[in-house]
Amino acid sequence: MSANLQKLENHLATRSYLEGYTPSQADVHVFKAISSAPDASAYPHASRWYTHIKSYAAEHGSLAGSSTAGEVFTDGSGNTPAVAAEDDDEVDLFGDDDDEDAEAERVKAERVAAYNLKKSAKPKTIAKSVVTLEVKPWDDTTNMAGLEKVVRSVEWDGLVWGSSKLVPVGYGINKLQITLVIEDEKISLDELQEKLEEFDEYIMSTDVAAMQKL
Amino acid sequence: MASIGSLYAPLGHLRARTVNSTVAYAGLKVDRPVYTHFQDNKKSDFLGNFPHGKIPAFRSNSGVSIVEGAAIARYFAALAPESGLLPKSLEDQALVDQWCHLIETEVFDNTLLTWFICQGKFGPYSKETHDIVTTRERRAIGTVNQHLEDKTYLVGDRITLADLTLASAMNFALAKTLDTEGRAKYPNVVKHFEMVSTEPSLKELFGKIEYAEKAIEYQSPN
Repeated sequence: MSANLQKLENHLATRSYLEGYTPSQADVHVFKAISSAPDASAYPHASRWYTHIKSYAAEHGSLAGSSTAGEVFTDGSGNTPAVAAEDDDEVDLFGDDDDEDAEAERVKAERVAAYNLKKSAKPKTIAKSVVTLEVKPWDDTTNMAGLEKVVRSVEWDGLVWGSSKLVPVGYGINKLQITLVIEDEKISLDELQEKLEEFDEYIMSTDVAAMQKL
Repeated sequence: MASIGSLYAPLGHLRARTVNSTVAYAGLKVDRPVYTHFQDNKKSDFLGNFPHGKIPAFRSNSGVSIVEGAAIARYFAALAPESGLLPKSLEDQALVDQWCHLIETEVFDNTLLTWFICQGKFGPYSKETHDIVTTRERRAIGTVNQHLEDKTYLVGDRITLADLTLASAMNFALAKTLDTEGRAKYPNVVKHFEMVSTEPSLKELFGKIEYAEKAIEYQSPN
């Protein structure tokens, strides 16, 4: 019986123990399959784990759990499908009886493949933000309906204009408060503001009043 | 087991996490007087026992008042020698103290500073200050991560007070400042946290593990 050190190393890179968060028979099983401490430069995590499990030597017989989760590292099958090893995080590490190993590995590989397919088919979420923009006119003689019209005339991919209202700022002047939804990757607010401020017969300035990720 | 005294350390309070983990892991019994933070610590009977007016605070049955979470936690660990939280040899005790101090001052305090800076509690926001504090916090986490490269626990091969201190600090950092990218840089610290925070006696106290997707940032008030 020998252990697959690379597989062990990968597993232990993100875990303290082979199974769960405490030492168990799974650790003892693999520990006993390794004749000496793994080389720390080649297998730093396995080496760290080996030293630690060694410190439980007196309790090896009485530790809880079963060896099952450890058997997957000692089945001698260095020929595990590559995809299963890479996707180590995603698969259940249920070892099976020796004579069922090939079958178990095949089923596992199938599941991993099915999982990867499902994962790749999942639509990518598009990051969007909802923005409240304030558009200030020059003075009380500015035609606000015209102002709103030029604002809404900007039609870019990834930009959707929402509701708007006029908010008084004093001296009979109103500003236009308008909400919009943007796709973060496609739309730059700076560019949008620059574009709007080009309508200088209506617009004096624009301000982002609020912004929230959707 | 009889109660060892009165502990003022609300269970959800960040500064109290280490001392509360120590109580839970060591299986000690304490009285927890009803306490409302920012109210009771300003009252005269609290200030009479604890003039500094801060928690965690502990008053033993014999009437000794102790403040500072690290000091109380160390005292509790020593009261339960069978827990192993405080190792037997003086050298190992010094190492435990070393890690506790480094983690509290270099990790926890900088996470807390970041949190305050981002809330605008330290005056006008400065990106430079924020960056300096983040660099300091990460440097310390990096040191601990490197130490854990070939060790499962910080000192020796069993859980000690240093591990409770680290998990308590990381509980805060993982939720606030260590984003996905940060966690990828310090995998040993993350797996240490997962191991300690799921320890049967500590699981309830740590609750559901919260990982920040994005580090906290300053939100300019509008």
